[in-house]
Amino acid sequence: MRSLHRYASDGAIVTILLHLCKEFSFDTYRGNRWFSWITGMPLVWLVFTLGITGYWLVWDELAQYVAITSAELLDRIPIFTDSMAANFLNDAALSNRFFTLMAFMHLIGLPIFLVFGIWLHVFRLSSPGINPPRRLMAGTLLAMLVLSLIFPAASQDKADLALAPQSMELDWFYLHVYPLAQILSPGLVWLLLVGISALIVIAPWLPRKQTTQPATVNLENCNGCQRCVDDCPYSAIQMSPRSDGLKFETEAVVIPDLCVSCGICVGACPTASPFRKRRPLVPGIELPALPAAAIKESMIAATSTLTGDKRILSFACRGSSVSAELKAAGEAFVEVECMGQTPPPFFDYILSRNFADGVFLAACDGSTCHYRLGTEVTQQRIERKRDPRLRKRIDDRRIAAAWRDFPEYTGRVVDQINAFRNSLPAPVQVGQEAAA
Amino acid sequence: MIRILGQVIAYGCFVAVLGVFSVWPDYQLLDKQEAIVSLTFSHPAERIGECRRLSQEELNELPPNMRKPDECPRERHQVQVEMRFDDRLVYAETAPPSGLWKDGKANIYQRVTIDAGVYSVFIGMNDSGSGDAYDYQQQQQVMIAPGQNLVITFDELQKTFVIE
Repeated sequence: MRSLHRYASDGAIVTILLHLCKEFSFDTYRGNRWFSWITGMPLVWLVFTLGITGYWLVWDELAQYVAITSAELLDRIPIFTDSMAANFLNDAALSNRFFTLMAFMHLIGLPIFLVFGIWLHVFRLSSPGINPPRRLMAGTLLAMLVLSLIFPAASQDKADLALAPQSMELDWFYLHVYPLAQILSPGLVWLLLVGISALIVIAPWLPRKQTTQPATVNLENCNGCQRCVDDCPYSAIQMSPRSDGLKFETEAVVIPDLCVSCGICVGACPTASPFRKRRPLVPGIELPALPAAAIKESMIAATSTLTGDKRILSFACRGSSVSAELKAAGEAFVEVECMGQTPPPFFDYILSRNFADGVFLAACDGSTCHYRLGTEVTQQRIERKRDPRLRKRIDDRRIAAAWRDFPEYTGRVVDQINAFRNSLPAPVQVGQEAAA
Repeated sequence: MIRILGQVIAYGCFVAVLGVFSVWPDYQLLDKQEAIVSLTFSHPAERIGECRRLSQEELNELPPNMRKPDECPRERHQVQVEMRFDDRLVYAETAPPSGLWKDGKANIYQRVTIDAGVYSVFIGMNDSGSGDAYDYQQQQQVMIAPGQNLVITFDELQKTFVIE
C-alpha cells in the first residue's frame, strides 16, 4: 500500500505536467480560459507541498535532508523571526508536536486546500471531467500494483541529526529542486520557482493575444428553450426573464467574459435550421465569426463539385489536423468552429435535399478537442439521445462520425471516408429537389 | 492483440518512468571523507545607544501605564561572526537585526562542508559595533568524523559558544 501511495503520488506529478503541456500546446489556456489556467498554478504548488510533507513524515535520512533543506529555503523568506532550520540541529530539538503538525498538514490541511483549489480550477466549466475513464483507471492501478510488488518503496536509514547523510535515493519527481538549493542558493531557487510560476500565470496575456467574438443572442429568434445553456461547456450562458415582451418566459443571455466562441450553443439552438423559410438564416444564438448562414452557404458550395452516386460531404473543425488532411486529399468538406456548432438539421438538409449521399463528421475526441464536449454532444444528437435530435427520416447508414479516440478510428480520416463511401446504401430516390 | 500489446507497453513505460526516477539516480550530498559544520544561533545584539534614566518630572508627564524608568533606543547593532578552522577563514557574516525597527534578534545559519579530521576551531562574534574586537569568542580542538554534523551554537544564558 505504501509503495502504491508513493508511485501514485509520483504519477500525479507526471500527469499534472502532461496536463499543463497539453493545454499549452493545444492553445487552450488563453482568451476567456485564463481562469482555469491561472487557478491551476496554486494547485501545482499545493501538490508539491503535499508530497514533500509526506516525505517528512517518514523521518528517515531522506526526510532529514528534506526537512533541513526545506527549512533553509523557508528561512530565505524574510517573514520568520527565528531560523526554522535551527529546529533540526539535533534530535533533542525535535518534538512530537512537529510530526503532529506535519501529519495535520499532510492529511487534513493541504488536502482541504487542494479540494477547494480543484473546485475553483473547474469552476467555470460545465460537466468537468474529474475522473479518467474506468478502463484507464483500472489499467493504471494494475500497472502500479505490479510496480509496487516488483520494486517496493522502502525507507532509507533512520534519521539522525548528529549525522549528515552522504548520499541518498532521491524522488526526483518531487525533490528535484532540493539539489538546486545547494548548487545555486535558496534565494536563487525561490527566484527561479516564483519566476517560472509567474511566467506560466501571465502566459494567457502574452502575445499573440487570442481574440474571439463571443456568441450573440438574437431575441426575435430565441424561444427560451435553454438548450444552449445545457450544452455550453463553459457555463457562459444564463437564462434571464424576458426583456422584449414576447410570450416566452425567459431568454438566453451570453456572459462575454466566459464565452470561448466554440459555437456549440448554435448547434443546440432549435432555430438554427437551414429549412427555415425566413431569410436570412439567423438562429436565436449565433457565432458572429462563423454564422449559421455562412455554414449553409459553404455546404452548398462544397457539394456543388460532387459527382456520382456516392457523394460525401464531410465536416471538420477549423484549424484541426483533420481539416488539413481533408484539404490535402481534395475532399469536399465544410469547416466549422467546433463540430458541436453544426445542428443536426444541417445534416438532414444535405441528405434530404440530395446535395450528397452521405455526411461524414471528423473531429478530435473530448480530451483532445480544442473546446470541450463538442464531439460528445454531436454524437448524442445524431444518435437521437440529445436535443436537437437528428430526424428519424435520415437513414443512419448515411451519416458517420470518426472521433479520434473512438475504437472505430484506426487510421487516416480519408481512409475512413472511403470506407464509409463503400458502405453507403443505394442512392436516394430521385425526385427530391435540390434547393439552394 | 496488437492493441493489448500496445497498452501493456504503454502502461509499462509509464510505471517504468515512475519506478526509475522515484529513486534514481542517487544524489551525492557529501564525499565519503566530508562532514558538515552547522553554525546557527539567534542573538540580540547590543542597542545602538545607552539607556537613559528619566527624571521624575519626565515620568510625571507620561501616562501612568507608560512610566518606565529607563528610555532605551530600540535599534540594535549588527552581529558580526567569523569562523576559522586552523586559522583558515571558512565563514564570515554580518547579520542585521530582524524586525521593521531593527530591534530583533540577528539570525545566523550556515552549513559548511569540510573534510573530516582534527581542527582547531575558532568562532568569534561582535555584537556591540566596536570594530574588529570580538565580544564573544571560543577556540576549541575538535575531531570531526566523516559524515558527522558538527553543531556550533551560542548559549544565551552562559554567553558562550557551544561546539558539539
